[in-house]
This record gives sequence, C-alpha cells and structure tokens, in this order.
Amino acid sequence: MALRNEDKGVVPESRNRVPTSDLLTFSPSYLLFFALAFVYLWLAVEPHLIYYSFGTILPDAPQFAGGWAFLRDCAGTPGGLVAYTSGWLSQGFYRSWLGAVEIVLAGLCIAELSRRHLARAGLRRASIPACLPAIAMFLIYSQYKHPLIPCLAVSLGLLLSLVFERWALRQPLVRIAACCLLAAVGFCIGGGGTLLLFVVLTAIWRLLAHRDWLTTCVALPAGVAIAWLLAEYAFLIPGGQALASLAPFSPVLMVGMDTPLKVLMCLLYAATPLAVLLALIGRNLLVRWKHKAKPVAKKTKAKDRHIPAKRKTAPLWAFAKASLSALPIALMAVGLYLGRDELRKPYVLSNCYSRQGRWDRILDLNRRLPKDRNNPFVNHDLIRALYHTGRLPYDLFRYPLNPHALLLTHEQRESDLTQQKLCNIFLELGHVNMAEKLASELLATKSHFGPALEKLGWISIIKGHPETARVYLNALRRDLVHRGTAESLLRGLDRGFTPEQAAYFDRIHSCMWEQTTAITGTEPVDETLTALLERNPHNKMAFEYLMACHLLTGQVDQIAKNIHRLADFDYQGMPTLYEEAMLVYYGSRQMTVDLAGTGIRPETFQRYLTFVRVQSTLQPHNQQDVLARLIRDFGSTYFFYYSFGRVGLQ
Amino acid sequence: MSCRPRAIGQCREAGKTPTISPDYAGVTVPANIAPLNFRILDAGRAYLVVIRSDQGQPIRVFSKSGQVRIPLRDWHALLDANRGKDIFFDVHVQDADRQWTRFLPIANTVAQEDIDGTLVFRFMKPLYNWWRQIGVYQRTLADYDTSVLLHGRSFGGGCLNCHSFVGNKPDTLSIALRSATHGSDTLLAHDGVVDRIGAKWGYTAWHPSGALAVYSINKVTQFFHAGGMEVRDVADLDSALLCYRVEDRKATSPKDLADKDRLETYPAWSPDGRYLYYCSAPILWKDRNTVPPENYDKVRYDLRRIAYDAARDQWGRAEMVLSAEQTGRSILLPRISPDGRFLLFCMCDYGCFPVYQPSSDLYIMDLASADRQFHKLSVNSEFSESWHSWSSNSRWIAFSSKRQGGLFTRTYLSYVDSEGIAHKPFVLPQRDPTYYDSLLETYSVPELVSGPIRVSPSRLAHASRSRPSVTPAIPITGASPKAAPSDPWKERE
Repeated sequence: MALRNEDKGVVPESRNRVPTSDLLTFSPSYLLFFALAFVYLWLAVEPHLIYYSFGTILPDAPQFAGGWAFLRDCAGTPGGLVAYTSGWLSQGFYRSWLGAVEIVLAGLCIAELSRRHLARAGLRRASIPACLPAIAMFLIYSQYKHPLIPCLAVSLGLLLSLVFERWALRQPLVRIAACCLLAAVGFCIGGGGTLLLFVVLTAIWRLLAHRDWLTTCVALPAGVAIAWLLAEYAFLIPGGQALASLAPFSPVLMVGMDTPLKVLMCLLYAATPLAVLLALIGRNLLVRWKHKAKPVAKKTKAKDRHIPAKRKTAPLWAFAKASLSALPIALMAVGLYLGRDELRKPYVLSNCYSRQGRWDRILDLNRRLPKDRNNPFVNHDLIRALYHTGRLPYDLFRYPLNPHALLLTHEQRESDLTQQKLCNIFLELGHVNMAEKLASELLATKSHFGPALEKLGWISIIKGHPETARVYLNALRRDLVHRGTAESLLRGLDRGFTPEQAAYFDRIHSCMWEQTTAITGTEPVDETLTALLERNPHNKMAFEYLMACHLLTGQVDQIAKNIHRLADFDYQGMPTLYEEAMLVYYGSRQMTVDLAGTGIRPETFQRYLTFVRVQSTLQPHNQQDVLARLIRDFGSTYFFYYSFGRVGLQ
Repeated sequence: MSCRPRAIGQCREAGKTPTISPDYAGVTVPANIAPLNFRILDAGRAYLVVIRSDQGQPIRVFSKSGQVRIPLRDWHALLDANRGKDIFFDVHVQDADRQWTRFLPIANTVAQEDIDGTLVFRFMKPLYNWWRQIGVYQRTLADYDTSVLLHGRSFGGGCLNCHSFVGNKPDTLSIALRSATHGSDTLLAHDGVVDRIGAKWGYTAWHPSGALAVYSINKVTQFFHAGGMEVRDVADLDSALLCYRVEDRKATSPKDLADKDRLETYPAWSPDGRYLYYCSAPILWKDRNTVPPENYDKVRYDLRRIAYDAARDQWGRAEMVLSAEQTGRSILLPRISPDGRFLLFCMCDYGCFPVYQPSSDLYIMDLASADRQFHKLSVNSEFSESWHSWSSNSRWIAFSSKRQGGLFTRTYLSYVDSEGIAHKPFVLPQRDPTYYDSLLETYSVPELVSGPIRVSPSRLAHASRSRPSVTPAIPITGASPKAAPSDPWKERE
C-alpha cells in the first residue's frame, strides 16, 4: 500500500517490514537472562510452593479438571479459555522444575511477541525492552503470586495485534470486519484484558504507522461494542464486568497485592504498548527531523567522511552494548532486592509442609524464623507439627506464639486458607461434620478443588457413605495431580482398604462426634475440644489441644481440672509444661505441693522456686538485667509465659 | 460405540437381570421422555442391547464400553407406538472368551400419558454459607437440551431460588433473587416482559388465575450438627405469608396467614383457586434471634387451608387439614394435583426444611375421600425425598431425592395412577450414562411446565441488575432492627 506524504511523518511501508533475520535473532544475553530466570525460579522460588497455595493463599488461582463439562463451563465466560489453559499449565507447578519451565516459557512467549512488535516499530535491538513484561512477571512470581492468567491474556492480545498487522488488509470494510472479528475472538478467549491490549496496540499501529483513522474510529469501538453485546447477550454477565475481566484494573486480578505488585502487574500489560508507542513516535519524529535536516546532513557527511570507521566500534561502544545486554538481569536483580521479604517464603513453605505432613521440616523452619514476628497460619502449622512430633506439651513456648493460632480464630470471616487448615485439623480431631462443612464451602466457591474433593472423599468413607464418597472420588479422578489418590480410594471401596487407610479410618471414627448436637461453628475452642474428649477420652489430639488452649489463655485452673485425663494416655510422667502450669496453679493459690502425689518432678519444682526467687528481685532499677536473666534461664517455660504474657525469646 | 446391529451366535443364559446404572428397571416412562441411557455394570468386552416391544422396530445398540446410548428418534418412535404396553431391554454381554451371555430382559412400561415437556430446576453445589455458581435452568424432557434461564453470575454472584409458575404454564415465572450488590427482590416474567418487584418473595404459590400470588417471608437461619449424617439444618426463626395482587401491585397480609405466634410457610393453591393450603407451626422460642433457637427439634408444622373468594378478594378462616399432633411429624410442602384429586406432601421428624432431613418422605392424600386418607408413597428411600411437583395432567410427579448416598439431590420422575399409586421412580435421564457418578451439583426444586420458558435469559439477566419497577409496601414489619446481612441465610428487608 503506497503511503502518503513522507513529509507528514508517515513511515514508508517498506520500512515497516523488518528483515527476517532481525525477527529471528536472539541475542545471547536474551537467552542468558531466561536461563538464569529458570534457575532462580526453580531453586529459589520453588513453584511447587505456589501449587500448594492454589485455592487458599491464592484463592483465585485457576483450577483445572479433565473432561468436557469443565471445559464447557470455562468457555461460558469471557476469558474462560485462557483461565482453562492457565489452570492446565498450573498443574505442572506440582513439580518445581516443570513449573519453572512453564513460567520461563510464558515469559519467553510474551517477550518474543513484544520483541516482534518493537522490531516492527523499527526498534532494531528490541530484545531488551521486550523483556520488561517478562521481568515483571518473574518478579510477581518471586512474591508467590500467580500471574499466569494475565500473562496468557497479554500474550494473546499481543499475538492478535501482530496478526492483524501482518494481514495488511487493503479494503477498509474488510479491515474493519477483521478487526471486529479479532476483537470478539480475543474477548471470548482472553477476556477484557486481551481485548484491551488488542485495542490499544491496534489503535497505536493504525494511527501512528498507517494514519488509519477509519479503523481507529470505527472498527475499534465496534470491536468493544461487540464484546459488550457478547457479554450481555451470550455470556449473560454485565458488560462492564466482562470488559474488566483479566484487565489490569480488575479487582479480582489485584486481590491480595500491595502497591509494588500492582505496579508490576500494570507493567505486564502496559510495557509493550508504551514501548511501541514511544518507538513509533520516535521513529516518526526521526523521519521528520531527517527530512528537515537533509541539506545539513550532506555537509556533515562530508566531515564524517574523514572519520575513521574504527572509532564507531570503540571499546566504549562494546562496553555500552554489553551493559545494555545485561540490563534485564540487572533489572531483575534490583527488583528482587527491593521486593525481598524474609517472611514471605517461610509462609508458603510452612503451608506446603503442613499439606505434606512434613512436621520436622516445620519445626526446623520455625527455629530459623525471626523471633519478634509471627503469623497465625505459620503458628497453627507449628502447633500441629509439635503435636505430631510429640512435643506439644514440652516445647510449645520455645517459639513465638499467637493464641488465635490454635484454631485460627483471628478472622471475622474465614478465609479460604483458614477453611482448609481448619478442615484438616477438625478431621484429625474427629470433628468430622465441621470438617465436611469447611471442605464443602471451599468446594462451593471454586469450580474444582482437588484438596477439598479428597477430604470429602475421606470424610464420606469415614461416615459410612460409600455412594457419596464415590461421587467425590469420581470427580477427583479428573484432577491431574490427585487422580492417583482418587483411584486408590475407589479401589479401597471396591476391594478393601490398605491397612494404613483402614487404621486411619478407624482412628478418626473412634473420635467422631456422633450426637446430632446443634452447633453454629462459632463455639469457643475449649468447649469444642472438651466435647470431643467427652466423646472419646482417648482422643489425644483433643486433649493436648485443650491443654494448649488453657496454657495459652492462662487458665491454670482448667489445667488442674483436666490433669486427671493424663491417665487415659501413655505419657511417661507428667509433661513439663503441665508440671509448670500445675506449679503456677498451686502457687497462685498458695497451696502446698505434694510432689509424690501430683507426679511433678523435683527438678521442675526447684526450677519453679528459682524462677519465683529471681522474679521477686525484679525492681525498676534492675528490670533489664533480671528480665534478661529470666529470658535466658526460663524463656521457654510456662512460668515465664504466665507471668509476662509472652514467650521469652532472645 | 456403535448402534449398528451385530449378529450374535449362541448365547448362554445368565438367569438373572443385568445390573445397570442408573436403575431403569421396572419403571414406567412417558412416551415423550428422552432415552434412558444407561451403563451395564456386568463385566464384559462387548455389549448388545435390544430394545423391543409389541409394535415398531426393535432398537439395537452395540457398545464396547458398556455404555448404552439409545438413538433419540428410534426411541421416541418405539415408545410412541407402544403406549400402555411394556418395553423390554434384552441385554447381551460378551465375555473375554467371546462368549455371549443373555440376561433376563428388563421390563419397563410406557404410560399412556405424556409428561410435561419442560423441567425447570435449580442447579448448584450443596450449599452452606458460601456459594459461587447457582443457576435456574430449563431442560427439555424429550431430549437432553438444557439451557440457563438465569445464573447468579449475571448479578454479582447472587443467589436465586423459589422459581414458581401459574399452574404448569410457562408464561408466568417468578424467581427470587438475593444479591449483596443488586439487592434482594423478585423477578416476575409474564409473556416475555420482566418486572422487578422490590420485595423478597420466599416460597411462592400463584393463584390459578394468575391475578395474585401468595408468598412467604422467612427469617431463615442455618446451623449445623456436630454428628450425624446430615451436617446442615435450617430453622425459620419467624415466617409469614403475604398476598401480592398483580394488578394493584400491592401486598397484603391476611390475619390467619401472618400470626405473630406462629410460623406460616409453603403456600399451595387448590387448582380451582378456592383454597390456599399452607403449613403452620407454633413458635416455640422466646428469642427470635438466637441460633439455633431453643426447641428447634420440636417444631412440627400442621397442614392447614384457608378459603379464598377470588371474585370478592376475601379470605375465610383457616382450618386444619392434617395436624402434626395426629401424625407426630412435621407436614411440609403441600402440592395439589391439577385435577384437584390428590395432595402430595412430605413429612419429616421436625422442622421446616425437608431436604435436610433424611427422615423426609413423600405422602399422598386423597382429597376425594371423605376422611382425607393419606398414605406414604412407595417411591421413598432411606434418605430425603422432597421438593415435588405435578405435571399438568396429574399423572407424573417430579421430586428431589437423595437416595444416591444421602447428600446429592437428583430429580426423579414417577408415574402416579388414578388411584394415587406412585410407580417406581427413575432418575432424570442424561445423555451420558455416567453423568451422575461424578456430578457434584444438585438438582433442586424441579418444576414441571408444559413448554419452554419464552422469556429470554438476557432479559432476566438485565432485570436482575435493574432497579425495581414495582415497590409494594410490606404490611409486616420485623421485630428486630434492620441490619445488613453477613450471609445469605439472614433475612433482609
């Protein structure tokens, strides 16, 4: 197509064509950046931690299930197919290396599409700015978020815009129709985010590269209008909501993100259009400047003729080139440094370990955490780990504690993560119906959620409802990761369970609440645990949790009231923390302690006396010293916790 | 899988009927029902099913997987030609040694009467405090065609329920909406036009004339059971019945239907419009805010009715039809057959929400008998049966049953003969015979209507987000202060 007057700044079409070699060239630094990103993501971020966060820490992470029904449901909303694809790819995060590969490939895809746009806009060394969206995406992943859906939506928008540019349709009507078609397709597949990117990029290309006002003023609004109509009449959702789907200003996309992350998310969307815009404006300005400067240019050329060519390849230029090539790596490093948070990974790591039942790892993790901060969920996992390693009545006060952590009572409205953790612990405690309630609520708010389905399968078997269990397990078979568990349990239903499975069912069943007592789920923690103990006095978990609850809330009288239950278990003597609590109880009532009768060890009693003696020396003038000594010698005892309301940690 | 006929040589005789899923053996089906696709559970490497009757060509279905998918046209032709007769399913299974075994035929009956052509139902996962996907759908019973009428995503992920019709006619539809974003109101669709009424209707019964509807307002609360099969329970802390006149756009509360000391709910009109049947129970708690209320497990509803003179718009006095004291159970969900002969209801141990009561069973009362005899239907299972509706010819019922394990509600259809005897029910057929094996959603509140709903889903969707076009004054004010609900079970005004 012949363009009009070059003096107007319109770039001749021949210059729009980028040499094939440029389109296919990958600079080594470009590949090095992605290789390093892969190593970092695989070994430092560990995408399998993100996998275990799906549906809970990342409540809106895409889910996936096999079968046509799930695909049909996904296709019924704008952006659903991108979400479906993202969900499928996300299953790969179960293995860290595979997740890292997928993230890097997604980054490569978006970078390559950006690069082609920028190359087409005349930016010859487009690799570097093209990496910006990928950098943004990798940085978001380093914060344990999951931007795969927006990445795919952006990629699709970039691709559709490139396709439209490549078509180079001459007939205006055909061009308009093609634009509308691509807009509609992009909207259906990638939602409002894809549509936005396609519209913005196409507008930029049409106006700045082709002066095509017709397409910009007619086709693009028509494309948006078609999307609106599709939303209202085909998808049956509000047009505004649909257009905002997967768009950077969608609240769903930004949920749980702080400002820096939101900026990165916007960069993911905006980097390429902005770069193309600047490149085209710059190119147009350059063309105009060159036209105006032509006579002068001839004179300067005469001067330049005498400049030896070698000066253009001076070491300075090589250094600058190398520095520019390393820019993506440098930007990534700076981003990682600025966004570092020493508690972020432990948070997801603890969640992962608790899901896997790796209790020793949780204890190791907590030993390394800063002593002055704690997180209720990490604390909750810690308490559970202490129970499973048999250390709950001994080591509870060696760690910073949050009293709400026991049964996660810190939220007014239970988050998905709380629901999942409570479901797990209630099932272990024998509070099976509440576990079922929580798992069902998790499932009801998601299109598919493997962990909840698995729990419901177990629960139905425990409650003696095999038909219901089969429904859950048949649905779970569509889950790529949990399929094996589903088939194992289905086999068990048909042919008998393994000894381990049977033992587990028996144990839970023996603790299971049988009376149809009406509850709301907001009962006090100790009331619930006491009721479970009434149901089965040998419910060790309920006992230790009940005692932990009383310890954390300073109810030493309740400790004394329940201490007789020790006889129902196989403890070798009274656990240390219970001894200490009993001594506090006796001391607070100035009662005489009969060591032989109570089972308290003499050394514990001596330690108590020492604590009391040291504490009694506490005066305003020596507060620091005495406190330091108390922390050093008694920081992890109940004596200290009861007296000062906190754990004494150095 | 193929439905091409295959020749079979010699067959062994199994001497028993095959095991199939779903259970479509010994049922009575209408001629206009979709094919009863099923799966043969007996092990084999190939399967052949021959469906035959007195008239018409037999249908042969061959399968390698055991899934039997019957061709639609042939199925309807066969059924249509054999109304009132039996149809037989001859099942043959080829074992690993390529030996065919023939089972005893499965015998089903084709009824003379058709069933209404469309089923409207609510589709969602078992509901606790939170949800995401709730929709009301319509399904053509002659095939598997299912389409959405209204979905919660159309109005901010809201809840919708209590869809009801005038008689079995699809022209007038009301649906109640609950949405934190767009409010809790009621959509009224009539002849393709949709109005939004600024009032939250609960269980709704349309007068046969279509001129008025009686609906419940309920202060519903959900709680749970620490043990036992069913985790959920529901109680109405308070409830009453109101009457909405379409022409006047006004709501009134007849005295007997809004007693301050009683709970009134589940209205149902007699087909002649002369009586409104409803359920009523005394309030057994002083505090109408505590959850669960005291004595919640002692609440038992009576079945009552009140006369209504449509011409004068006058209500009579309420009279007892069946008392809870007499039955020892809570009587709920009265629905009268369109011919006025039978009253179908359910009874459970206590309470107002039979779908959460495994003890809930379906009963039928013969209104033509002098002493209103009633009996328990044979269609019941050990789990909850409820949410029943009649077809327009009074010969078919659709109801919700949890017989598949006790949790998931499925829609069952049953033929009711002129003596009020219900024949063995069958689950709503699906194209995929394994559909229910992994279906996590429930089919709730099945309503039979005579034809497809004509109002477009987009109109309903738009109306669900619009402002009310009608705002009737509510003649009843709540005793408790108004407060924004924090969950869907709390009443809002």
